Amino acid sequence: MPDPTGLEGAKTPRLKLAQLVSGDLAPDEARALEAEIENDEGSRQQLAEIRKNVEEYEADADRHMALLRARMVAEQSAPAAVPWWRRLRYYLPAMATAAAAAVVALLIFTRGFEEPTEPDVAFKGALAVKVVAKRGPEQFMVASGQQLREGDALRFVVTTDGAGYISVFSVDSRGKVSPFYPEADPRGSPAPLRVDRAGRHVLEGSVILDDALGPEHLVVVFSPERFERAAVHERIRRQLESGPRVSRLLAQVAGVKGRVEVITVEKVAEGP
Amino acid sequence: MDDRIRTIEQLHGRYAGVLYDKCVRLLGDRTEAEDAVQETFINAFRALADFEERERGHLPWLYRIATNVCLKIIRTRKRKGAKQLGDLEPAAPGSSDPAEAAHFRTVLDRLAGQVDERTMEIVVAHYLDGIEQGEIARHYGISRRAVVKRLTSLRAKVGHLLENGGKHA
Repeated sequence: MPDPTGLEGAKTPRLKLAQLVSGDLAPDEARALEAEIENDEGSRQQLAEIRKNVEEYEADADRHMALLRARMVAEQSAPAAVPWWRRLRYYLPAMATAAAAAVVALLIFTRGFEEPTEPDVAFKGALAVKVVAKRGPEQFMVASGQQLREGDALRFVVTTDGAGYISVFSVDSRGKVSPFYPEADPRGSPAPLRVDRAGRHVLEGSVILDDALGPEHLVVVFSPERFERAAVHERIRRQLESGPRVSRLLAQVAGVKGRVEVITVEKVAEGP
Repeated sequence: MDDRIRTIEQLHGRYAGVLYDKCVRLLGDRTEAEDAVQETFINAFRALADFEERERGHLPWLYRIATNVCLKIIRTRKRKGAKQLGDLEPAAPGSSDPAEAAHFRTVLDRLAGQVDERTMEIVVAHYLDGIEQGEIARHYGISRRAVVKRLTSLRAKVGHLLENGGKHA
């Protein structure tokens, strides 16, 4: 039957090529497939495309893995949902013993109870940040060490493993802090940006870089708990001036129970 | 660390890249594809106990999970009236056949809401992943004949949808 869909035509199954790239095929099978690919231009191109995508993903593998691990840990520690009728079996005995419990509670309160010890700073939340720059018609991903120019427009894509609060700001070569998200001055408007779910958040609009040349830190803070932006910005700024830029350390210094990511770019004058 | 977490991390280290490739090709959007890969592994984490040794390796299993995740994203896009799938970026810059990838997404876009989820999964397994009909039948617990029947009626439907809607309208 003729194929009106235009979908037929793949010579080597994509899954087979993926298995080859992943090292899943037995040596004989891999050799046979490689010979087949060698004689087919389309399959060679498909294989090159898969390898390119694999390379692209793996360039950021640590971040992907950290986010996945945090989500799995969060999922594991979350209580399983129990239907309401099954929850009754917990409530009924509790109701039946309510009077006795009240007496026991009185005894406990009159004797006092021990304060739970404050745990060390517990780091929650996982964060992945992507910055896309637009210069005229050209768009590119921003990596640490990247050269950017005045007028470049930056777009931030922040992926979190849960609901929480985000603040994005920059620290330029003069130590000046500029809030990006939320845009308002944190001294007047101290609340960070609220995100109400896990996942990818494309922050609205874009940030246009000014003319302060030299190294500039783009800083993204995420915390499941609300924090005071101005204080956090200032602590991170001081740390960036002298100390190492380790995410965990920055979060600790900033006093947020979350994550801090820094991308340091170099702002240069426009070339000839 | 929990064994399940360790297993998923190992699978992620080995297969995340090729799953990303699949998701890029299906969704035509690299950031959405990254999200889809994360969701695939989270779903695999939840379903790890269901993975059966008789499966022919972890990759076909993960491929099927990724298909479901991507189809869900496509249905959500369609419900929200997002841009047509075929209008998104080609599968990859310098793709072996970006027109083919864009056409595939157009077809999926047209089919979303017109055919049941199982048929959509079979379309992806057959046309995108190149899985043999016998293998698809085994995975879904249906006869090979049923797979062929679904694909045949689907070809007619797609031909009709494309004729009436234009290839990239």
